[in-house]
Amino acid sequence: MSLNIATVAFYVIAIVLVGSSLAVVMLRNIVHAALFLAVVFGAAAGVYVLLNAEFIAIVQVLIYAGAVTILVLFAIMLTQNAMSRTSSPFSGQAWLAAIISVALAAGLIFTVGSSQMALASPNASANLANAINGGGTVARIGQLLYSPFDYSYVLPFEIASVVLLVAIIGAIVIGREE
Amino acid sequence: MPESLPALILLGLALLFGAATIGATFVLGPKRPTPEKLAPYECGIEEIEAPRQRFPVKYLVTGMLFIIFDVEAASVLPLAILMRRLQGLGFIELLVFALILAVPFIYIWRKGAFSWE
Amino acid sequence: MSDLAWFLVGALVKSIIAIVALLTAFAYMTLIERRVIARFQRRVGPNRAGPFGVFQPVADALKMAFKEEILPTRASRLVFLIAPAISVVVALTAFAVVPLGGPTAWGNSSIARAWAPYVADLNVGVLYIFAIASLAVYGIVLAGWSSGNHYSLLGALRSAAQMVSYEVSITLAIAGVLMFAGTLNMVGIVQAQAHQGIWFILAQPLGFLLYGIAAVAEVNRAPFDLPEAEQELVAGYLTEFSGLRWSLFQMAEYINMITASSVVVTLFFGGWTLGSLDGVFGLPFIWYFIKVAVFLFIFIWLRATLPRIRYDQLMRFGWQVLLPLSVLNALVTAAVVAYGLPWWVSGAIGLAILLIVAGAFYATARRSQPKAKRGAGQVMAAPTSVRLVADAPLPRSVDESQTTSVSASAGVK
Repeated sequence: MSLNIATVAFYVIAIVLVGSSLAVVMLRNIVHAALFLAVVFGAAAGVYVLLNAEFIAIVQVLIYAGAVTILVLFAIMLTQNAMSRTSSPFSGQAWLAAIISVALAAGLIFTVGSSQMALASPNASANLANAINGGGTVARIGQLLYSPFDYSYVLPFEIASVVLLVAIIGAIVIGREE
Repeated sequence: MPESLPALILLGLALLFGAATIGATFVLGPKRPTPEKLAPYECGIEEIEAPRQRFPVKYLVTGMLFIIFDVEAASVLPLAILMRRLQGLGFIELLVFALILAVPFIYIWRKGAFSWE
Repeated sequence: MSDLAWFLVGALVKSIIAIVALLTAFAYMTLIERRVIARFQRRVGPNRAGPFGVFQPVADALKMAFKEEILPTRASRLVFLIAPAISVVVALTAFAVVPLGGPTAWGNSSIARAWAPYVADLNVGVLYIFAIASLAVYGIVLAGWSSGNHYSLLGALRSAAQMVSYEVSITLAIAGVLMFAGTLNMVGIVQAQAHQGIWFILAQPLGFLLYGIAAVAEVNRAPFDLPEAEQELVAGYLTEFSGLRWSLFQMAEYINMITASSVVVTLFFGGWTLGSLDGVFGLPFIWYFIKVAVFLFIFIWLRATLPRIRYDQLMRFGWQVLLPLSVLNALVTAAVVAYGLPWWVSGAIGLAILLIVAGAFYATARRSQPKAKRGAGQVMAAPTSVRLVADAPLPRSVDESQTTSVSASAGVK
């Protein structure tokens, strides 16, 4: 029963994910494309939920769907003439993009297919995640990140704040008003 | 996975409700459009064709700062729920993190990122 | 039926109940708000439709449904249609993890647990509400953009910038509660309060106030209702909306208010717990609803009392006051929790910070106010909030007549 639900859910999410990704690159209306980008992020969060990675799913929604895409919308409204809507996504380089995409997809499929980590079904991967996490994923992630008693990423965490520092100053420099 | 299904069910029902209400707006109510009625609202006067709209870049800067501080908040929360277990070490981790971020915060404050004239 | 099937049936029925209940609560909140605001302003308010006006929401709903829906020619049709739906879907979905009672509110069997009074019990709890609520910006930005009206677009950008600015403080303000609770799970936070024998408001007075202010800004209510600053922007992003589409935005606003109040009660006021009276049937629910109602009343009270603040003040307050204070609160609480100090230490420090900040605000407010001339025994002609040009004396005759009329009307009262 549980296996069926998970598998069906996976395929539904996968179809939504691929379909809206295509919409992002193909739509003429740039705001519609940005909207579908939000759907892509939401569907990706759905995949994380299927893998029992609830915290990652929530952060995906919070940061990507709730912040990054909003910034994209802001940028569209500020740079374009906000009232004009259409733009052509197809420049002369469409064929080049197609070749690169196919090559990338082939590489990814080959890597995933031949990987030691590959699992037969989303359910099996969820079980694996459960075995590693032991349930409460947030607490477990916290332990991995911050606790020196387990495997600790304390230093990378502190360095992440330096990355954020650079990003803040970058944002101010980009937005400087002459 | 199963414990998050109910939230998805609620989401599905909410989507149904939203779609049904928007659908109802086409069925209910009179439809007597006139060109004046459908023109953009401009307090009753003729709309002056606005020049190319330019919005202050401040909005974009606010958006970027928001992402950065949102990432900060999201990375602090797992630390917060472990604070009791990590004891003094957790406090020092948080303190170092906050102090490093205080530097650019003061810098952008000085640069006037928060003042909207 | 298996446990999982019961679980899913329970979730479906509870979701329907939640949606119906939230919509009903929205309808009656509009009535209560109008009646209460009317009382604040010495009016009566709507009282004609049924006893105490109880059928007013029904009348309003019917009126809204049969209004002409305008779809402006300049609008981007598809987005214009889905924007109000996004707002209300987000508002409804965010409510999923709010617990109205404990997992064993109906008993301890697995079937009773499937009917526990919340839709979902997620590990990530509070964070789920914030993540879903962060999507509410879409409804507003898209509504403003798709209307094809400059007022709408400007209003939408403004309120989007406002919402994102306060969102950060909201997340950081509850970090203190999470440190005391040790979990993100909503039921877990309530149980932690019962277990530790305190409401977290006592340990987190500063966190509560910061969360409260940021939450009011986040749901765009007065005094932070900038998108509806009609003297500047007509009705902001709502300008081109009419009928049911307009009421969907209103619905979203009130449901967000209810969710925000429920989060406050859950995080800071012990949720449904009653101590030894927990077992009495129905009592925890009533207790919970009373507490939520108090905060809904405070929302209305704020709207009736406070003037709208200026946009530049709003942004500066969010970034320069709320954000640093939230981080400070998190640091203080971290020190208290990490070194095992008793809870009242963080409560006392929080109150001290609060007093210092309030004092600083009071001092700056006094300093920026020019001194009016105050003669001995003279009655002020204007209320103190009116700024007088410091040294320009009023014309003698005008001064006298105003003074007498004011004192006369004061005598009548």
